[in-house]
Amino acid sequence: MLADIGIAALFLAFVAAALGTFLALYGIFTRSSAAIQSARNAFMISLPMITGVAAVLIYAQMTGEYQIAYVSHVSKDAQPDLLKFTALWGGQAGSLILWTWMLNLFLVAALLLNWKSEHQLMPWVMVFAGVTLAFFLVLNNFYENPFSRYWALENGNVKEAVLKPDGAVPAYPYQTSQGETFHVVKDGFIQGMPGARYDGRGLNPLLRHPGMVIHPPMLYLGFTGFIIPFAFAMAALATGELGAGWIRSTRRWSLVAWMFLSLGLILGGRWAYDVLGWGGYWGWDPVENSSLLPWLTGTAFLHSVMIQERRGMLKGWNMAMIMLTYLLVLFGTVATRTGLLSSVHTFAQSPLSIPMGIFLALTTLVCVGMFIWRGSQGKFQNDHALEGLLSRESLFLFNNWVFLALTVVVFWGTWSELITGFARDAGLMRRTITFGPEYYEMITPWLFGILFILMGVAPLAAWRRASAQKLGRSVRVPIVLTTILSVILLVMGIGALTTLAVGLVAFAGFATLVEFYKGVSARHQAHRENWLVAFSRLFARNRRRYSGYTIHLGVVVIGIGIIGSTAFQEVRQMTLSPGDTLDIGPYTLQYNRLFEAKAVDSRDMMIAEVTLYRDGRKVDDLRPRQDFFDPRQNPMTIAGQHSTIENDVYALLTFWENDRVTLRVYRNPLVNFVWWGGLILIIGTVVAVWPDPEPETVRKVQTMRRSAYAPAGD
Amino acid sequence: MKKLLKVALISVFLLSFAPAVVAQMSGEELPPGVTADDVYRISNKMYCEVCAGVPLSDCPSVTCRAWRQEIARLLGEGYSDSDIKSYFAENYGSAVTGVPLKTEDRNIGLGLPALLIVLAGVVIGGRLLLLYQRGESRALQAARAAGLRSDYDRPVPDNVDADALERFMRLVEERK
Repeated sequence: MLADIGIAALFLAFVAAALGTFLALYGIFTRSSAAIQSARNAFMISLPMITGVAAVLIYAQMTGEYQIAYVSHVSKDAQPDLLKFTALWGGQAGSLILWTWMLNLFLVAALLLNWKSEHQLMPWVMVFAGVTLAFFLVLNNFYENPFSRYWALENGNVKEAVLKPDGAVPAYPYQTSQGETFHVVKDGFIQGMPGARYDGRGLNPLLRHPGMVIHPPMLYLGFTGFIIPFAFAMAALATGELGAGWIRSTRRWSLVAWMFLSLGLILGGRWAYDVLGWGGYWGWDPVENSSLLPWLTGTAFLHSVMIQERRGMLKGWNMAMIMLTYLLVLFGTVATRTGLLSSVHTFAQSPLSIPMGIFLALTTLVCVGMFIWRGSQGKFQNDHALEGLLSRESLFLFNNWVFLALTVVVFWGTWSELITGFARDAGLMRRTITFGPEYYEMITPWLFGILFILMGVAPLAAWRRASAQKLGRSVRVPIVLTTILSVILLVMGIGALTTLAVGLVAFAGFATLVEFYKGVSARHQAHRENWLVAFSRLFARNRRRYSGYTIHLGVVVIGIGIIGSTAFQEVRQMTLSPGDTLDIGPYTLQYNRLFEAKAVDSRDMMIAEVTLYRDGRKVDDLRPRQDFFDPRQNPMTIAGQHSTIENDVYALLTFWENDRVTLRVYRNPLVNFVWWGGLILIIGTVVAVWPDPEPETVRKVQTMRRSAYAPAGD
Repeated sequence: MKKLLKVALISVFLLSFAPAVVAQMSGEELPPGVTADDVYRISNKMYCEVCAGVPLSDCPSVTCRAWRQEIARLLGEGYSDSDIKSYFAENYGSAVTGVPLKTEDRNIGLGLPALLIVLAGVVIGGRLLLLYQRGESRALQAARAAGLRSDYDRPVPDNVDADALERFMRLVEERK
């Protein structure tokens, strides 16, 4: 019954979305405002439908409706309630529902917030976002239906199907020590199979982490969020209204999507650091890369749109960047969900490859076609010309080139195996080419280095035309501070390359801090405000500018964390007997004993007890361990961590034999800066996204003016 | 197809040892003079084809463990880091290293993105110059029309708010 409700709601959501898209198109071509209004209503209806679908699925997970195959794959009785809930995004079908729900949520929010202000664009926005929504609902209904159930057929086989096959009866999964079996009566135990219980297999152990509770929804919010600016861009293309209007109305949408994508990437890094047990947070894994790619082009877009807003330039470029971002979102989704790329993050091989591939190809064709069509009409002509080669416009364009270069490098590194595989099969190459982290580590630091220079210089350059002399004066203080820092580092014996990296990051940081100082100091002197008040008012008066600086500061802090935890990382691996010690940096680890334990959720744990000393003084007890959730799966390696501002000591239990253990210990200096930098970045973005109070103020001022100029007398 | 077959064979090999993975999580035998740190240094930069980008050093599978033993053995025999990588690339395919070792693959692998980046740079740079030239000519035309001297071509002060300047310029245009 529960599954039937879910199936019906899911199908109705598809009907509503498809109808909404059709009505929007019909309304555009027949100029029928009633049809357009109906389209809007249809999307408003599809949202509660999909919400209902998600609610039914979560309820099934919580109450143990294991006849539903998805529920049995991701949930089980012993699983904590929170994880039963988050199991919604623990598998392919459920996470696709979450994806679709978020997309519909964004669409409805855009319809509510932009309906009046962008009435010309909204019908087309509904068409483009609606097509994506309807496509994903096709996948939800016909390819990865989360309500597919187990059925026992007359021939004794068990089959997964959404609708009941002829003559079939429900089959219920039972877990035994040998694996899964099925029974047609949902009660107690199976005769002759003692210990078998009606239960699910439970969530993949790697997903039982707080980071994984929040990371996927954030990432999906980032992915689906970018569909709204894309839909606005396509609407602008369709209507030919290619001025700064669509940019202004989508700036916040782009920022919101970018913020969630950033948060998703940061949380994903934290999850990898805590759970994957390799001492790092970014492994240049294909799926990580697939999330990074739209972030790179989205960041480039957020910078280049400012030029169109201010100067009416780069209309075609901005259009291309948001299209590229959307296509990379689709690419990322294809990569994660079709098993095309091998990664720890991918869902199993699925039947989605063909429909997703076709949708991606068609979307690319439509994007390129419309772009060429409007380009040939001269619709991308700039309102202004570039007045100086040294200007904020040119530096932003340079920044875009670097982001694009990073996109090319990461894209090629991620997809090279597949692309060169095709080339090899076609006889164009002898071997496939695959890349590991070394490839990215060889190229990307240089490009990020250039970005840090631009981060320091570009905001100080004037629009239209900057003078080299004035710009030089603006960066004088940051350059002096950077030089002093670099000399200190070199004197301390830090290598030239590391000093260069620190210098570039520090330059961007100093330049941003100097800008803050100048602004606050000017207010402090001019208005006699105390420093704190001056700072808060400076922010309030020019929120966009200073929130941007805050985001830059966040990136600088992340940069410091990355350099610290990679250039200065120390790793030791040793096999130890009880009482043996291992030295790493100023720390000494003493291995005490190895013991087994059973957790409340029935997982078995092998734990090494280690005491951590610093300069002879005990500072912590660490318990690196391996968790065994299921004998059929690899164990999870959980690090024993000691965190300080200065560094993390991160100990892993890699092997053991009797009471001897092999420990791998990392000292990751400044690694926590990565998370704090992420927090600063998110705070900066939230401030930037926060709605303006202007409309209210403007209304009040207008009312006051009207009353002030009202003619006297009757 | 060939790759699929290779992956399938390695998978079958791994699966055949699956029960042993959990049961035999013991330390690895190291030849005299070779430390676990040495093995880690090399294995951390190598990958097996079925472990989805997980470095050899961190992979719990039996195959990866055997490969680590082999690295230790080769180290004991006096192989250098690069010799070991070449040995593995030769015997198990180029996917074991993070960057292709063969010159031909390396040139294609690293040259293609470099070429694309340069091309993008040329396109963007060209567009920038084109925009700039138009800007110059318009500014000069306007200066000539207004009878201004060539020092019209003065840079805009950095501390002028761009929006304010825009409004001011529009006002001047309207007044002409």
